[in-house]
Amino acid sequence: MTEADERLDEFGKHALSPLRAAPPLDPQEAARLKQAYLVQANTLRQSVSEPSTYNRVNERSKQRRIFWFIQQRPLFRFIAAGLIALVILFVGSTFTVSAAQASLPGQALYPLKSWSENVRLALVLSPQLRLNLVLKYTNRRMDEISQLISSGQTFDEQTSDRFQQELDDALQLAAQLNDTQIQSALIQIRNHAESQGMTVQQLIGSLPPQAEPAILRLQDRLNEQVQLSSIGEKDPKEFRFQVHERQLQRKQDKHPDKTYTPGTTLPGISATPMPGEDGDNNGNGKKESTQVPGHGEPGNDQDPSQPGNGNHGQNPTHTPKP
Amino acid sequence: MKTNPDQAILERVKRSDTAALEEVFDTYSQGIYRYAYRLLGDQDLAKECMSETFSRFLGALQRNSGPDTYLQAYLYRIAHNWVTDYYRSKTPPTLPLEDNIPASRGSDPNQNLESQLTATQLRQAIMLLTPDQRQAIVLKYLDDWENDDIARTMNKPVGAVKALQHRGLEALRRILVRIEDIEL
Repeated sequence: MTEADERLDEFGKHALSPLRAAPPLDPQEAARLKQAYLVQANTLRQSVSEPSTYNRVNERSKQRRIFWFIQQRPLFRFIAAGLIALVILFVGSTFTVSAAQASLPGQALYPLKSWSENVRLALVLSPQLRLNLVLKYTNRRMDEISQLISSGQTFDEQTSDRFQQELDDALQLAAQLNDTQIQSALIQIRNHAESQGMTVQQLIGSLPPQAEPAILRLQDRLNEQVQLSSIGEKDPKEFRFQVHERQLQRKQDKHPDKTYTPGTTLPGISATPMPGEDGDNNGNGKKESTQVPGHGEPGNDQDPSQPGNGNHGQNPTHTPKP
Repeated sequence: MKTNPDQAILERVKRSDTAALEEVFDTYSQGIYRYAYRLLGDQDLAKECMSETFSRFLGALQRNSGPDTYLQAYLYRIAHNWVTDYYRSKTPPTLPLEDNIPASRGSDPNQNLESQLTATQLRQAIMLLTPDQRQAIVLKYLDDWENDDIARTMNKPVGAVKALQHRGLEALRRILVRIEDIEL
């Protein structure tokens, strides 16, 4: 030890000496603290004999090991991160789609609403359930149009087209049902169309001028829907035939350069044969032309396998428009 | 090779032998209390520190993470950490000048007052050191420990402990000189 170190050592002893004196711990207080310590020690002895304590400790260390495992293995870390991302994506998407349901045509979230409706419809297989869903969507379209007009706005052609497409879809789905089911389905369609027609009637009083042609067309279409439903309630075959014709007509309107033959499946609607056309109902297993008067009566040289070629007997009302 | 003097009692302690646990308390409680008092200057805090030291010791035994070698070093480490945490977590209360400063029989009251003030200033000065410097100095100059024992307690080589003491004393001297300058 150098001289300087010795001096420093002396300084330490001298400088700290005032702190050397420490009052002794009061014996009673010491006894109390010892008692508390021994009680805790006794608890320790009991807990050592209880396996549950160790189980809890082991459980905690097991959890730590799992997290350590995830942290150490890049693959597991990647998978864990992917799962978390998926959960966030799912929750976020659900929230956004849910928020989109209140949107109106022209708003940012409206395409998401349309998309979610299409997805939901694509997931339903039963024609009856699909019909219920489509009718629900027609009500939504009506509500959207009402809200737009109430706020002094008009609605675009796309909204009108979508509404009309859904009205057509409802008819086509009803046409796929058997004769027992079709009655209630058509009543449903008619009730919806009548109710929507009344809403349109109320709207006509408060229309902005630019919305008038569109809403009048819509009114005509809803009247047509009521008429077709009424026909179907009386004569399902005639209804199926007319729906079929409308289907072809719409296709031709969209693609005038193509020739459509009957039996072609329309987009969005399943190729389930119509009960009135698949021969199951007539028992002869053979396609027949419609029995509606004026539509392909026997002997008119019409190919029975092509009832939709635009030449159904002599009734000009069933001739498709060019 | 030096044998571990605590080996036997540690084995009993790990078996939760009540007598061994009691022996540990009887052996070390007073020393830890004094150590804490010297650093804290408050009897209640010193008692709390001592009590908490033994409580943490039992908790460590329960988790199978108690001391494996030197029991004394282990207990003083806990106490030192408690004091360090205490000063770190809150501003140490300024000790009031008590009206009834206990006087030793036959001593001069003025001298007692002076020593009380000096003790308070000293503690404040010591608390300005780093925790390691503080521990190395207090164990050597107040508790009269050998540097070997201090090194075990601090988990450091003896040379490092000496260096800590040297630097700590240098710093303490500078601090005290500054305090004296302010007083003058």
